[in-house]
Amino acid sequence: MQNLKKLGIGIGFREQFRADIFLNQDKIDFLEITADHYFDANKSKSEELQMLKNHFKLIPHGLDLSLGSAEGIDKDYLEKFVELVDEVKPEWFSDHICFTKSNGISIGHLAPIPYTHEALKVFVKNISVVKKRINIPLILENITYMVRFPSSEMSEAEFITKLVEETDCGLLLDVTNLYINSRNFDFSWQKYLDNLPLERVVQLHFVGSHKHGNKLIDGHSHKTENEIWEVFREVCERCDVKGAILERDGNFPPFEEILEEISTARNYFESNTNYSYTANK
Amino acid sequence: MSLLEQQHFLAKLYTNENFRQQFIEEPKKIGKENNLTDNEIAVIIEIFPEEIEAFAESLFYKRLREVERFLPLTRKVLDADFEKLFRDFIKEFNPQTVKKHLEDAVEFAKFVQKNQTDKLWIKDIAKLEQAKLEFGGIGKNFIVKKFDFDIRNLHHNNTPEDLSLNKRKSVAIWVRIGKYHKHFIL
Repeated sequence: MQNLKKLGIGIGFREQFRADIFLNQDKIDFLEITADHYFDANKSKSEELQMLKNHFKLIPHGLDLSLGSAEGIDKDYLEKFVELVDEVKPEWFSDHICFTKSNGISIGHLAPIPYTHEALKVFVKNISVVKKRINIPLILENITYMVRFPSSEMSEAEFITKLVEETDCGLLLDVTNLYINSRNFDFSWQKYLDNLPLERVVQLHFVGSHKHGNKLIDGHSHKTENEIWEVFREVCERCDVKGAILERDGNFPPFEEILEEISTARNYFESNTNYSYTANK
Repeated sequence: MSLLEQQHFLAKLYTNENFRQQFIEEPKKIGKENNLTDNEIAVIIEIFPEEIEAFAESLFYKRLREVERFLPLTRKVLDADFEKLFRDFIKEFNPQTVKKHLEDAVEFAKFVQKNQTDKLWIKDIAKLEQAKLEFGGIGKNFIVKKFDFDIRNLHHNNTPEDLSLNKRKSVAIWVRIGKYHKHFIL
């Protein structure tokens, strides 16, 4: 993971940003695309992908590999991912530490798994299937959760450590998800970081959270708050991060606000790196 | 209980509101009906019901928000009924393709046409948005739809202020041949 190129700071591509990203190309180092949006692409999505590819470095981010599914990997989905990766030729690709489907039911989002040795074996097996078909680094993202499993045999950080070490994967550390979980379930995010293999952190996600009842939610629809910047800053200090992505999906602000957030992230990122990543664009 | 069995059961629990309520009220009965042993039922019960409920609700709202994005006019005219109808809809439908939100939106537009009986013109708005998604999103090359109301203004404007429609029989056609695509309203 140490040999991967530094990409810098970017945003998750959303159609609402289409005009603005081209007007501000010099301020955006790379884009993360939602892989699923380009599977079985129609003509306009294919053209969009070509256009993005011609102007930015792209990283595909999957939503539905369902790496934690005990029934195994959906081969059709995987083949679509293979085609996209062949087309985009990214530095790395990513998906989540979760399951999203079971027994023909699409859960619709990222569902947590119990942190057990059995679940670990399932991930290791599924990831080996993926790696046989996609020969570039896979990085795994921590999710927010509302359900905890008393049957877990280890902590989340221990589970992730074993997982990335056994599969030789990188980490996509979502600092917002980490902060939200730490607040909702009352643990120290600093101690959580102490227990992660930080040398495997490749990329970060960040965005604001919001309150729903007495819980924080990762709605991807608010400006990054100071507490999350604090996590971001500390991770940049402690890890050799290769890239960070602002994940804004809704309640879209004027693009100046997005650029401000990118600029803030860049300040933290650059103050902890001596590598000229802009040369990679 | 194996992880496989646990995931099968949880997937149903997260996505099926009736099943979830039944399990929370009578875990042993529902567990037995689903071939779970006493031990397996105990493992699931250990997960706090309020956490399962909160997660299921968050899944519902994520799914709803995606569909709202695909059906902005239907969302606007149905207002709070959009969410109520969507709750009924998901009891019957679970998407199976990689374009699950698009599939959800197309099927929900059909559901609205079948179940919205008070204001007939709302059916035409849902039908128009369904056709646009099938043409632009799914990539059908030829679509013909009959309407009972005048949809001409809506067809060209995705965010009109005035969504009330006048009675006027019309037919809309979407055609794609190679690179070229056209739509007509007759």
